[in-house]
Amino acid sequence: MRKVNYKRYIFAFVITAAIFLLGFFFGFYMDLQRVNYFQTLSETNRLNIRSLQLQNELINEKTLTNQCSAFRFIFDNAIIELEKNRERLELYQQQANVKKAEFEILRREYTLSQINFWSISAKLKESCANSSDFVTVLFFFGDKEICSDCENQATVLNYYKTQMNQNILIFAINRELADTEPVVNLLMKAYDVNSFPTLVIDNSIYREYIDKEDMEDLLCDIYSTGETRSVIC
Amino acid sequence: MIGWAEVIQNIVYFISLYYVVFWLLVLLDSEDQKIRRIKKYPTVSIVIPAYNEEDNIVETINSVVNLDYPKDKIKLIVVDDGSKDKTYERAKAFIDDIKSKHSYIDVLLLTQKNHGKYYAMNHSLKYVDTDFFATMDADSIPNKDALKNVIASFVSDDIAAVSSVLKVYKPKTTIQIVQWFEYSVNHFYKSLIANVNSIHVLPGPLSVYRTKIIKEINGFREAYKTEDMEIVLRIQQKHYKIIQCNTAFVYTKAPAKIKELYTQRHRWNFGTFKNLIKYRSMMLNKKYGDFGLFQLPIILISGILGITILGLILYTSWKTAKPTFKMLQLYNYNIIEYLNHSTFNMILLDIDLKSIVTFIGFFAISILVIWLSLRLYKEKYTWKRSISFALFLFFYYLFLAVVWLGVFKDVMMRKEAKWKK
Repeated sequence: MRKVNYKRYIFAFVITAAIFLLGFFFGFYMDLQRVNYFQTLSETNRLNIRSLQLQNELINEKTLTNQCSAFRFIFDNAIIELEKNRERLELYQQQANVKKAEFEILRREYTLSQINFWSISAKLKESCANSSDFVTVLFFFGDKEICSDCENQATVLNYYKTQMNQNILIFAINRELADTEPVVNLLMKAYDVNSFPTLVIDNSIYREYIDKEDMEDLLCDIYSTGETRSVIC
Repeated sequence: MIGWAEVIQNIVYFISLYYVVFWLLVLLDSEDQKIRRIKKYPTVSIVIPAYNEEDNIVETINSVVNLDYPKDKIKLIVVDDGSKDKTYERAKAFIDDIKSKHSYIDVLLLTQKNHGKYYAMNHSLKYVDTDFFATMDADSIPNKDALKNVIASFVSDDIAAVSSVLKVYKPKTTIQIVQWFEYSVNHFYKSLIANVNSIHVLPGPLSVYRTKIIKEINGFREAYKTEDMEIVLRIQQKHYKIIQCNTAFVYTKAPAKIKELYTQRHRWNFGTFKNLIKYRSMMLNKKYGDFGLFQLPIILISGILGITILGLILYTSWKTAKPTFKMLQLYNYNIIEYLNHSTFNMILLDIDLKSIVTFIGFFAISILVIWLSLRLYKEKYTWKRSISFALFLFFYYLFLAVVWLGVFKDVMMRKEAKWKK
């Protein structure tokens, strides 16, 4: 029978657990910083939306005339900020250690902002038709289990985003949010979304995966100015 | 919800960290190695089993003859294990020459049908009447003072065996230099586990046993071509001590190509795994102290951990690279165009600090261990070895995971060890 130094086993366990706990708090701190960042961003988004809605009303009331290009400029900047953070929010949610619930709320809020921007973009097209050669895409997607093509569809849309920049505005709506967010549910009902992916490109509905070539044809039919068309058509 | 990959990753981190912390505590507790001043040199038989070693046998015999140890206290036994080349003839010619020049040297040349290394060593044991019994692989060369230092390490009667520190003989290829790092680190690790009597292998090149004990446990066994591990298990069963002499260096020829290295490691790990199964009653058995409670399970766990880490790396890499790869597909693999259209959008918060801190932590510990190992064994790092260093640091343990995968596959398919020596 040999002597075993059990104290060493316990001490090693305590040190390991302590390092792990430190890592846990580190993760907690990171989550907190990221949540704070997105909360600030959400407030900016809300402010941008209010400002854009007001500008749109003023343009419609003819209080502001010939201000479409300025409106478009402000709209573009706001939407660039919004889109830049879409992937970031998903990444943070995936990496979240503790504050998963907070990220879920932020995702809801983010989706609402997207719908707001989508609605403003439709109005912009009406009131400033001459300076609005862009396509809006509402992209309803689900996870892999129910939608095997959604990932590929997202890639195709991202591809055209990198090509067309502000001439294509993509608003991605996760079907999961229909359970918690009534607006998402309403939108899905309005467009009769039952299968995924479903795409609402401007006002037309497409209920299946659209590959790179078909998407190119679709976009080329919609773009009206030669300058925009020359990029991909 | 936490994903399965995250759960597995945390388990792997925890076990790995526990393992590192445990050995760091052992390192902090360890005492300097004791060495006895030899007043009266004991007698030693050195057995060189050889199979198809015509290119090496003469050099090895010569190095043993030239050891800094009283010649009248050494008995050299060369056993030709039915070689198909000229091993026997070359050994005989050289031994005859030695005998003619130095009649006081006791040299014996034996030959047998090819039965393997264990059989050759048992064959030689019949002729051993010395205090100690040493093994020496036919492709290895000891330092002049190696035997003297090993014998001086038998500081108490309960020490059954002492192993030497292996070094790669004239490393040239990148693969050999990678092993040069590995050998140092492994022996550093062995010097640590020796503190809690947990050495699990006594390699062929210069391991010295007390003859009385080796005979008591009836010599060597075939043991899936890993007799050097199996004999340790039986010594540990008898609660004898095994230590490593950190000042006895032996140079051995290491595989020069990746395929040869894979074959060698597969044989070692296959034998280790089979022996672990055979001696499973020792595992997690407190009767065998730290050896049973920690060292034996960790050998098995390290294989499983290696495979798990390999799987996690492949899974994470694929998950990370997949969107980029798909996007590249749409760009018809025109990387320049893809990069032209990509925008760099990164903020400080995007950095996954937890993963980076974990990586830096393990990286720093690895560098520290390599530095301590090279310093302990008086190895000199040169910048020319940087590529091999990077390969060792980042890929070597993944390579070992691939070896373990092969081992588990062969065990499940009930394959037997192929190697013959």
